Amino acid sequence: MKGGYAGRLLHVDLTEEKTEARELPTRLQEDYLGGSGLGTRLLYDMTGPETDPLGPENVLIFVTGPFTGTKVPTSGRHQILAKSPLTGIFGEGDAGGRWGAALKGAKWDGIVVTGAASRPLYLLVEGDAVRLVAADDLWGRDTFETESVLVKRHGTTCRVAAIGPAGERKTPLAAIVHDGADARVAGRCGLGAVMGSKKLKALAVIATEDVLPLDERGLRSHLRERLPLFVENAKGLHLLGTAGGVAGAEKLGDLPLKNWSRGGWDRAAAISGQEMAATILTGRFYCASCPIGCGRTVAIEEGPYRGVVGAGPEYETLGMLGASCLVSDLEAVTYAADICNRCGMDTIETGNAVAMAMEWAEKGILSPAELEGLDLRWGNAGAMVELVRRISRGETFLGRLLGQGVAAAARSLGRGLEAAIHCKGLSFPAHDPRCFNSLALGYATSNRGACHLQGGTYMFEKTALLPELGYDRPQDRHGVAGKGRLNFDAQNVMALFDSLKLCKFLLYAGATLTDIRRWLAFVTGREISLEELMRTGERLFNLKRLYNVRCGISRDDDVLPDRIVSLPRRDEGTGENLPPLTTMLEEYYACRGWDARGVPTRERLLSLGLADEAASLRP
Amino acid sequence: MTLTLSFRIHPLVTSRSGEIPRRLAIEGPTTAGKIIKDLGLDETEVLAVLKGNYLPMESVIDGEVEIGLYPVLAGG
Repeated sequence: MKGGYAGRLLHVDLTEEKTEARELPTRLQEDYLGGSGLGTRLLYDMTGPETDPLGPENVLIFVTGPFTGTKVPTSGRHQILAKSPLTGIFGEGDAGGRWGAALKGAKWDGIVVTGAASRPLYLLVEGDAVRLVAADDLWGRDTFETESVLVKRHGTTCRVAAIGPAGERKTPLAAIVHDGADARVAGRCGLGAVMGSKKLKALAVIATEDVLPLDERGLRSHLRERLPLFVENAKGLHLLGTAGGVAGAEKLGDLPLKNWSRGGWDRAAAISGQEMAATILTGRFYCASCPIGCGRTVAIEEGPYRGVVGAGPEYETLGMLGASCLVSDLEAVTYAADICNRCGMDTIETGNAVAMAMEWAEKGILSPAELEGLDLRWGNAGAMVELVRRISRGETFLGRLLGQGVAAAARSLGRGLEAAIHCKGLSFPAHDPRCFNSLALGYATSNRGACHLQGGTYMFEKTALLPELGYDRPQDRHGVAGKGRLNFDAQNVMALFDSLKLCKFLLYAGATLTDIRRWLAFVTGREISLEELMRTGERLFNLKRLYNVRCGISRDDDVLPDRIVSLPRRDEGTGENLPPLTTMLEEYYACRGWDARGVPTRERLLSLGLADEAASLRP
Repeated sequence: MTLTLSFRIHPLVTSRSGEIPRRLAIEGPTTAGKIIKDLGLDETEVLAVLKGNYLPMESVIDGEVEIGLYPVLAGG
């Protein structure tokens, strides 16, 4: 397969148990690239405000980018999209690993799943050979077991995306887990619940051919020149994983503590990547085509948490299940993460939920009867693990309540709403907007709810650069002017990363937009100017916003929890800083060309080639 | 015993107290963590590498070696 695109999508109607190949028009490839952009186009056209996220009318879209499966560094990724059952708006997740590369190697750009099966099924794709297979024997199994069974059945080249019991029960914080115990997870937005609502247990994919760029020699030559720099720059990520940053994040005032209510914690090093390397780390692994290799493999052989063998906890997991709960027991956090991976749950949403419950317990918001014997004092590792277990199984009042995600759980309880730290229903990831002002704006305007990756601006306030856009030195993290522009630029760039399918750690590694334009030319033959590339990123971001506008989202929803904008951390790194969201939002809307309601203007949409969408806007 | 250590320093590793020396003569044995502190660096921001491998802060250094100093990249 050559040229970046297979030129076809696999449509799967689970209600009718039928599959069909459909052409992927060249115009969609050019205007929406692939991955997140192409998936958004399909989601926008196939669902809307009336769609029940857990009904058969929702679609579940797995889609690669033009780089997926090639040797372009970090391109072993794919995107999954659906209307989110967690937030009720646009939903997407990104995963690394090897599944996406296998799908492209099977000559498919993506899979569009519609309808709902009447019995558990899994999809088997081996090149042109596609079939739906009964999955009664897999239903109820965890994600690691499911992968193990399918690899044994279909061979070691079989790559598996699966849901666990959380997805089967349609828990809104359910995730889709890839590559078994390596656990490359599309965690956010409850996509696992959508898969469960369709009774689709897994997608097993086997590549049948190599994925080659149009200009193999050109790509090889360029990579020979650039890869040593990427490897050198990202060595910290390779040696310590994302977890290597835990202690530094605490010092900087970035690490969430006690459900986002304070700064300063002297136990951060105990749950760091450095501690992991000295204790439970057994190996490192790479996603497909990755020169960085940030994946951890760990094993716990003794003690109350023995038996864990698989992916080590990432920074986000340590931040939410560890620091935000003031739990400093690395093995306990690793064990809780293992429960999440096996059952298929988002560790960010789960960690926020546990921390929220601990705050409720401290403040007496939960009655002893509602606590059901749990001692949810801050830092109680055993209680944290037990609550994660209950959430994963949907057991007990609190387990079922928190399984809805923090926003719905607090609404459902009707008390303690101030402890639900989220935006648009998606809980905060483990980076504090009081540490990076730009993140406050990024969380408030991210299309899937509070997300650090849809803008990734904090990276440009640390070490990452975008010289082609004028960011040739790290930005002031506590500054205000220019944060609207930074979010505008960075969100457009990240939309490109999510569509072409690149890992954002490439920015730490030193990759530039010039590199990306050259890779696109090597892989697809398409020469694209910087201006057109950025216009494409802006188009993709705006289409997601339009999806949400149709669902009723407006400026009223571009807000943050009160404590984030009014309660200083008062620690060494962040001190009294509070992000001035309203001021930054004004600049941002002006950059975006959105009106005072947060709706893209017709003029801006027309300039982005979204004429049909402009015509459908209500005055 | 006096050790002469040499350093390979990534461009993103910078010291707030000035330029980082490329070579350092110290009384050994010592530890990786102490070396990093002696260089005016923060052990939460910098990691040490010996022969391509991560060097924990408590690792004992008792020989003439080249140590790589790299930035810890936070977050995901």
